[in-house]
Amino acid sequence: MMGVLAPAWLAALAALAVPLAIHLWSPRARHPVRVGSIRLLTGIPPTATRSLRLRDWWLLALRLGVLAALVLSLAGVYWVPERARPATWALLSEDALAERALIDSLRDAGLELHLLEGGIPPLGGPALRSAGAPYDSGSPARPASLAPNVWSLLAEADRLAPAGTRFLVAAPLVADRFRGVRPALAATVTWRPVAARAAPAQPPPARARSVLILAAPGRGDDARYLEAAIRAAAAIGAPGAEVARAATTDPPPALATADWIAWLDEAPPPAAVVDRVRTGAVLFTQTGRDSVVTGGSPVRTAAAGPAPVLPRRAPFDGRGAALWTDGSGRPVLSVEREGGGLVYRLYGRLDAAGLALSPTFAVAIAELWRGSDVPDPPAPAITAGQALPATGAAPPARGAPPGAVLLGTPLWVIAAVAFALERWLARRVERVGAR
Amino acid sequence: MFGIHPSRLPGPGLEFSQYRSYQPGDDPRRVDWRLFARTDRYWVREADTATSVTVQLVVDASASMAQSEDGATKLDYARLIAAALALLALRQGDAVSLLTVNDVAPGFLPPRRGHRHLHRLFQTLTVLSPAGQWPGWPGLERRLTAGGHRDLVIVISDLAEREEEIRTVAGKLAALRHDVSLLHIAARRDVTFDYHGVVTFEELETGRRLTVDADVARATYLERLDRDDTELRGACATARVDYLRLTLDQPVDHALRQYVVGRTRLR
Repeated sequence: MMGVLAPAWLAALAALAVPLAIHLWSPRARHPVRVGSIRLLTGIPPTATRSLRLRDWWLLALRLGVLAALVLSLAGVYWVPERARPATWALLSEDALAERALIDSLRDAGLELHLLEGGIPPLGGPALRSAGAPYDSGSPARPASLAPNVWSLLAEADRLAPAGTRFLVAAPLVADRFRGVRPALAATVTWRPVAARAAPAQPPPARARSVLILAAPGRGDDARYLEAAIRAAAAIGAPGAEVARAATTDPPPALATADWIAWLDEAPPPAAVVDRVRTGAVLFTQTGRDSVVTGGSPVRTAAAGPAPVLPRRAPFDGRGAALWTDGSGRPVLSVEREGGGLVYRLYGRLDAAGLALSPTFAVAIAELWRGSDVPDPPAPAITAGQALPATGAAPPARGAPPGAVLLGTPLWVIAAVAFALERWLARRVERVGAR
Repeated sequence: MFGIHPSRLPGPGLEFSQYRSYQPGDDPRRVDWRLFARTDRYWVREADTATSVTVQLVVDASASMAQSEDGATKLDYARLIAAALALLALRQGDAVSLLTVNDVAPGFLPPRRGHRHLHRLFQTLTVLSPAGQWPGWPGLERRLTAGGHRDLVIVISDLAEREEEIRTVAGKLAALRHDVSLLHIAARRDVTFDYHGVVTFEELETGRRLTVDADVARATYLERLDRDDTELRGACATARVDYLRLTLDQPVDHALRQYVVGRTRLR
């Protein structure tokens, strides 16, 4: 395999046109010698003209050769012998295993396939087929906290791979896969981003949840909106809901068995409610204290659809992780683990003018309804540049690949020999001409 | 040449020239008896007859004379030679005529003596430019044979002929008992054929072109040149024409001396 270190120098090959042009448009041929009489020259057969031309062609070829050798040596031409060519390992994350076309193309390209997990096991053809699992897109994804750390795996692969191996890594470029210190690798890494496998939907529980909405006397509307949203969410998908409403001042005995409790009051929920939450229930509270009129800042939820506005927003008290945010990124709805249960806090009021009557609100509530676990915030995507290991952070090295033989010196020698030969031939032509 | 211009008719004349000792074969009537009486030796009194020699300079002004080498054309060289010869001739009192020959604008200055004539002649030579070809004999005959005297005719040419028109002229003039000199102006490369590779030659008078491999053609050319030269010298000798080949790389004074010395020896 041939390569060039400085391809820009190849443009200098245009200089080959110079001797060619001189040869083709030789001034000798263009400007005749003006003499008084050619009487003595008439009738001389031009028999030997061809041989001289041939000799000239040899000269021309030598001159072109000298120029070409010089240019190629300046361009840094190298040659990589077949045996010295380093292998390329294709490191496939589990997410990449679903992309059969990618795997096939990599194997067709002659790459060694390895699985990007502890031990970097090779991914042979039979093994790949017998495993079955890699092609089974239905296998459950691991929790994010257990997602493989690409950087530590790359460092491991770098230790295992022979020197000079290149890596082609097919893994999703998401931030949670790149944890810890960016490793320094000897190998060159090329990225082939693949899509992260989506977390499979959790099987819905068979039993319907019991929902208890406790509203302060002035919060009847809020309770109504929330109940409607929960009913809608339960109607869209399992589980179903059995909704009951009561006043905050008089919590019913059903509190002890409620799965979801909505506490719509400025006062903090009583101990009974908190206790129930600690034993596994979900609490939805709302705080309108110190609320300000925002003038209609759009609220970002996980749900798709037009962003509803929240006319009155209360300041975030720093509890829990934000689920919904307003246009400025301030949390509107936060979630926090409380014992065995969850607490959702809405900073603001369910206002008929904004959030509560928006269709998106119902969808967003449905999202909450479906996943009662504390969701991981979606890992932000990163760029291939961010994913480069320490050595690869620099732009691609301009050196020749390992094992390459630089042809600079041989080319100089060739140029020198060709030049000497050209001089000798030119002198010989001249001498013969003078004789 | 002209400084020792021998009188064609030595003998009794009006102007005393010199005494010389008697040589066998001298006419005894020419012995100066008075001197014999004084010195007891035979002296012959010599006097120059007033011979009027006309020098006819015939300069080839055809296009082929434009061939140049090292910045000077053959015509430049011919101009210098003609001017120098004219100066020499006029200084010793001979009449000089100038005939510039081509078929486009031939020029003629009739034989005259004197300073002013010399300047006119120089002027004519200065403005002379090469053009056309050497005309046939009929066009020249009237000019060259007008005098009827036995003139000294000096033809300066590069001898670039289609046929043999120039040497014919020299031969005819010699046959008319003129004293004819043929000064052949040649370029150095005409003689050495110092060309290399494939060369296209263009004939100045005709524009004809010929492409030859000079390295291959050289042998043939030099051989032909040699044969041509031998023929020419032979023909000139037969026709009693002085022939001298001058090359452009020769200094003009050297060329002139060569000519003069050659003529002296010839006498």
